[in-house]
Amino acid sequence: MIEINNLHKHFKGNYVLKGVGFEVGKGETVAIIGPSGSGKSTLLRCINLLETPSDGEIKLDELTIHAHHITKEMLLKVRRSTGMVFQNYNLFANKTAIENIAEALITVKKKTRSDAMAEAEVLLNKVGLQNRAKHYPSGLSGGEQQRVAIARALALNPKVILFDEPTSALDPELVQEVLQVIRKVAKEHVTMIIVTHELEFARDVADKVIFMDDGRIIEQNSAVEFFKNPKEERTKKFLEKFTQQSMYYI
Amino acid sequence: MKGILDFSYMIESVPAIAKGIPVSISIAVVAFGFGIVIGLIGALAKIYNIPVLKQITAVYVSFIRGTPLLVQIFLSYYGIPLVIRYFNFQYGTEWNISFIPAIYFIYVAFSLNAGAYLTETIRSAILSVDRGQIEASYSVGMTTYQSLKRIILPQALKVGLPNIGNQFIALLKDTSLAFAASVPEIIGMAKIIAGRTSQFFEVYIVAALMYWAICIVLERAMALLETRLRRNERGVQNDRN
Repeated sequence: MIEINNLHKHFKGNYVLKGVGFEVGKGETVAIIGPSGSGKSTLLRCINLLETPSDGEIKLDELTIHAHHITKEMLLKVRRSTGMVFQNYNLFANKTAIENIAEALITVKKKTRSDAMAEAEVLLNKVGLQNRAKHYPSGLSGGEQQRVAIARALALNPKVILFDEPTSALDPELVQEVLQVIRKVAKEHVTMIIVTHELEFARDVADKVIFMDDGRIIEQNSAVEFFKNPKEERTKKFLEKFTQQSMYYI
Repeated sequence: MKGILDFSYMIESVPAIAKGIPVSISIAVVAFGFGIVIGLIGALAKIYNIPVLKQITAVYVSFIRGTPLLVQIFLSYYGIPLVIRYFNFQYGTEWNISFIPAIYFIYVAFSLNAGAYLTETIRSAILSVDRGQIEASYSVGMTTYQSLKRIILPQALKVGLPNIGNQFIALLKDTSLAFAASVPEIIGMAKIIAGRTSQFFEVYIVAALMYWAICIVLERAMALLETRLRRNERGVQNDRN
């Protein structure tokens, strides 16, 4: 349902993506992992065209986007069929929690305010924040803000939700509440692509894992196989570092 | 000589000078209204790098900031009639210049002046809004216009309000220059009245107190508006539950 082919992206001579391609099936959860600066976030931002790819092709169901022919109409179409959860939450600061979720329903789906608010309330319940409906983002904890952001991304019923390191900015004790919500969403077979540093979470929740380094996909496999039998040398090294690190914490 | 000030004359002159207050306020309000529109267009032209419009804005802002308001008033007061006369001559129109009240030239000069300063104020206010807010609104499929109207501008207004308010107060005080085009605003009236008795000092003190009083009211109003706009920093809408 999602197919990325030969995606390139460079910023003024700085090559961040050097021909990336992969597929995501309907209802699948894909985790993208890799060291900082490997192009994971850029890849994600290219999928909903927050960054314009320099070259390559993106297919979302019947919608095909070539890097060199992106019209305004396509841009809106792609963004309306994808949801995004940002590292820094990016909730609308001038809107309450419930208004944040209702916003796109009002502006994009052209629903009445009362219909949109009713739908938003259902989503707010889903992420367990019904008692925070009238709070502004500044009055919510990081974990709560991120849960609202997930509800906001779900509101348009997108074909895929893109998570850009959803727990990296959170205090350690708040990480689990956000991961719980993502797990819940994954169980409902919403298609998701998650860029994450939480390898354990990736192993638990993802169907497929993609390992990136230096703008390329080094290895991709089912989550079980990927962690049990990494094939590439670089993957092994990366995973080794991770297991050593977690030993320090214990 | 009884004393430095003739208080009873000052009180007597109040009603006559006060006739200038509505004129002063009308200049400030009209110029501010058009100034906001010009400022918004200029700011967006600069931020979105709109070709041609962006260059025009740059020259316009530079010219207005680089010349005194008094000179701009003269240019408008003497220049616009010339342009109209030229049109009449070239295109056979029959606009009568002497029927245009002087205050319209003042409106033009002050609007253009306010617009230039507001371009910069509004631009910096918009740029102060976190880039993530724009990305978030795009990520849910909002158009640039929707994102500006519902997310960016409301937040920019909150940041920019103290500056915009200051500019309105400055603008109101600048209206005192309109007497140069013989518009009967506060100073214009004061000059007329003082001309009869030569008691300039008294009359100008009364005028000064009037400006001050208006500005105190404006400051209060601005503070109230700011508290209202900052309500979403308290964390909860209405009451905390």
